Parts: sequence; structure tokens; C-alpha cells
Amino acid sequence: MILIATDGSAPARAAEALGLELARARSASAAFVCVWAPLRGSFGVPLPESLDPEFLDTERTWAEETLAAAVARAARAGVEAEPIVAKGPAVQGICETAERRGASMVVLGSHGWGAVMSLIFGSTTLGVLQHAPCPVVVVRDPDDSSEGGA
Amino acid sequence: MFGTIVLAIDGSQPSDRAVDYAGRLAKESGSRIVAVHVKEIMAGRAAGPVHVDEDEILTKVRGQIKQFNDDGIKAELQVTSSMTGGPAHIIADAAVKESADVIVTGTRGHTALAGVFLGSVAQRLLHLAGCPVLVVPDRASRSGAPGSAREAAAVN
Repeated sequence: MILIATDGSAPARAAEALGLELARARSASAAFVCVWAPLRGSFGVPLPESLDPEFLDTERTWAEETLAAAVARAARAGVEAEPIVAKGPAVQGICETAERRGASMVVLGSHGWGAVMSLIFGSTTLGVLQHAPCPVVVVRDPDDSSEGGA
Repeated sequence: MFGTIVLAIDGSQPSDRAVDYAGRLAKESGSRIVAVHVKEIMAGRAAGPVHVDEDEILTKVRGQIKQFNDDGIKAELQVTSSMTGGPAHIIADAAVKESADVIVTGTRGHTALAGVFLGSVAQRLLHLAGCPVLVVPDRASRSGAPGSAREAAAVN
């Protein structure tokens, strides 16, 4: 199974395209994983349960919608892909999913939506490289010419 | 799938895993392999703590390329010295020149600092490469290493 990590960012979309191509070429199954983390208030304090559950579930809903969009794009490309929602942190969510599902490969973008994304190479990506149980393919956003195309 | 694979090769153990994996990928999709070896000038016989012997490395690496050819894989070796720039730059440049579809690398080479999980060359490659970079993990036991039951099951 080819596991494609997604967060809807441009590099993740590039990873999505390559991951689907790989799945097709190797006649492997494909799955998307999107990791969400519960919203936290100031100083990282968990928000009180008394808050509107819809509000508390914003991130989870975002992950489900991101996955649904990716699965729909995959279907249009002729690949049936399974959506997997995982709870964060991102590195753990991706690597544990890969481990549990016996992924043969993880495909992900060079960086995601994190702060200073264009300055520092994605820390999630580096973390996945360190902890993944299988080979990892890192894909850049083709429009990002900050340093690539050497 | 991958028409041309550029393989970062230096005879180290992590590199050996990348070699195995690249060979399997190439067989699977009929790719051509361009293996790039960058001689580390600092790491010669008398350079102290690194203990890298270029002659030994070259012999080993040439053997690995011959093995590819014996297995019916189109493969060639490019040897450069790192006088002209960092190894990552040289490998990324080779990928551009060869119109590589992917660069395959291990996590670290001979000269990476002990305890560093991702060597500086691999890290730089992630920044520099214009094409996808496939990193083969270090831990053979946990990895979907070539020929492992997991990989075979997942591919079939």
C-alpha cells in the first residue's frame, strides 16, 4: 500500500500526484492520511469541553474534508484511494499509520502549512524520515523554486 | 514509472540499502540507473578519524554497478570529486543533467556524524533536488526492505 500524507498544501498536492502514479504503476493500493490535532487555547491549554462541539471539531472536520477532496481527485485519476484520519502530532500520526497498515512507501510533500514554511525544511517531513518504517518519497511543490532545480 | 533513477552511492551500509532498493525499483519499472559517487577529498587514507578508503569504496561500488548490469538493469557509474562543490550539489546537478525522475539515497553516508539520523548530504539533497527524493530507511528490521514479506505483499 502506498500511503500519501496530505494536508491540502501545494507540496502535498504534488506528492498526491506522484503517489497515485506510483500506486497505478505498481498495481498497489493507495491511501491518504491526514493528521489533525485538537484545537488548543492560549498557552496550549485544551479548550473546555463545554464549548460548542462543532467548534472543537473544526480540525477534525478539516482533515475529513481534505481527505474527501483528495479521494475524489484520485477517483477522477482512476485510482481508488482510502481516506485515513489520524490524530496528531503529525509525525506520529503518519508513521503509526504506515506501520499499522504495512505501507510499502510513504509519499509526502517537502513541507506543509507550518509557519515559516518556505524558510525551513518541513519539520514534519524530517520527523517522518526519521521514524517511518518504510522508504519515504519527498516531493517538492513544482512551483516552489526557492532553491531547487539546481 | 521512473524512467531514470539517480542513485547516490558511497559504499556505506545505508548506501547499500539504497542500492538494493533502487535495483528493485529499476527492475519493476525498467528504469535506467545513474549511480553518482562523490569522492570525499577529506576522507582519504590518512585523514584521521573518518577511515574511508576511496580505493576500496570504488572497487565495491563498481561491483554493485556490475551486479546491476548482470541482473539486466541498465546502469552506469559517474565518479566525481567534491572539490567542485558539496556532494549534494553534485548529485542534484547530475539529476538535472540526466533528467532523473527520482533520486534514491540512504539516510547517511560514510562521513555523516555518528548519531545523526539523516546525514548532511541527504538533508541538503532534499533542499536542492528538483525531482522527488526517495530516502531508504536505515533500520533493515523495521523497513519494507527489498524482498521483505511486507514489501512483496504490498506490491502484489
